[in-house]
Amino acid sequence: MAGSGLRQQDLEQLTAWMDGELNEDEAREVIRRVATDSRWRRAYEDFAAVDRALEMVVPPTPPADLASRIVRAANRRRLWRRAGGVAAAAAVAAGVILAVWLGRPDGTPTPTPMPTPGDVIIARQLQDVPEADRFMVENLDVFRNYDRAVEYEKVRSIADDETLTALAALEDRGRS
Amino acid sequence: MLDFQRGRREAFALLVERNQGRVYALVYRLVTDHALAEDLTQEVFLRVFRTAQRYRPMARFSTWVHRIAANVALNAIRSRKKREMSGLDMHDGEDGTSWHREVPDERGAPPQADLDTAELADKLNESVAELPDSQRIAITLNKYEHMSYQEIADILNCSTMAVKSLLARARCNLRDALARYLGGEFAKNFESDEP
Repeated sequence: MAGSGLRQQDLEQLTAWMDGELNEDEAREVIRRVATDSRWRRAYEDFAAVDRALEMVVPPTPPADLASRIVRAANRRRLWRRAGGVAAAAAVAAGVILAVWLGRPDGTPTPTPMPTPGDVIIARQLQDVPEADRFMVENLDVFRNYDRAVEYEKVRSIADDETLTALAALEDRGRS
Repeated sequence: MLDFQRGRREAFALLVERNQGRVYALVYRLVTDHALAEDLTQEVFLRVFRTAQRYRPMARFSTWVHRIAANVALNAIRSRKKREMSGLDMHDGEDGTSWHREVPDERGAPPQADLDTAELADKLNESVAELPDSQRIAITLNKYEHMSYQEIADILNCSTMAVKSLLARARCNLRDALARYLGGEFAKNFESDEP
């Protein structure tokens, strides 16, 4: 290796000084050597030239469409995750519905109540809910009865803003 | 990032747009392969997407994402190295004993007066790409990401003394690889304005 003739240990001290990693005493010693020893001086000048060259290099640039590809990939992953969550919720809901149905004394399903004005407003809000989440919102009563289930929390955690708004409205109606 | 954490999905697109250039540059410098750098940059942002809730605004977002990028690139380099195990040219041993690679001394070669800046940059890029992985990672994180020795040591899972050694060896290798330019036109092109 061509070089200044300094020992590896000295080159490491010089490097650390140039990177601002030495304490005051160590730095003073390196400065003294650079000022008084031609080998240290030459090594310093070489390293400084290398550093300046590295700083001048233009950074590589990404392809123009990389950002959009990344966003598309993230959206695909999000949809897959949501599909998994909805599938889990559907499985839970099916189990709960079956359990409720079997638990009825005469084995008949609960009759559907007449829609109230509140239901109409909520139905409008439901129009903004993504298709994938609509099942969850429309079956909120089932999920509320099952609200300690981990799956319910999972479903809430992946819901859209619009879905959460609809959920909140339905929950308010349930409390009132 | 905080907007994205609050659920604004469009904030993620903005976040990618603002940071992809630096992340790509860092990853490319580490893996020195454009196609792989694109894949890894995507992987970095998908990790951000998945783990956004873990981000705490104690550190700058760019610091956080660059740390992820360095780790993703490092994992890719390690995987690549495992695949290349049959080559047996382990010049970049994990124990640090053989990090230094002999580079031909080109000081004796005649200087080319007509070298332009692009050629010099090509030579420098080539020289950095040819550094042993550990040295290239250390000098990239130090010179371009301005990481301290401790931060580099954390990422490389080694001591600060080892980082110091890596950086010294990297500078020596670059100095030797660029020797023919250091004293001539090259030095003039890269002369600092500082006294």
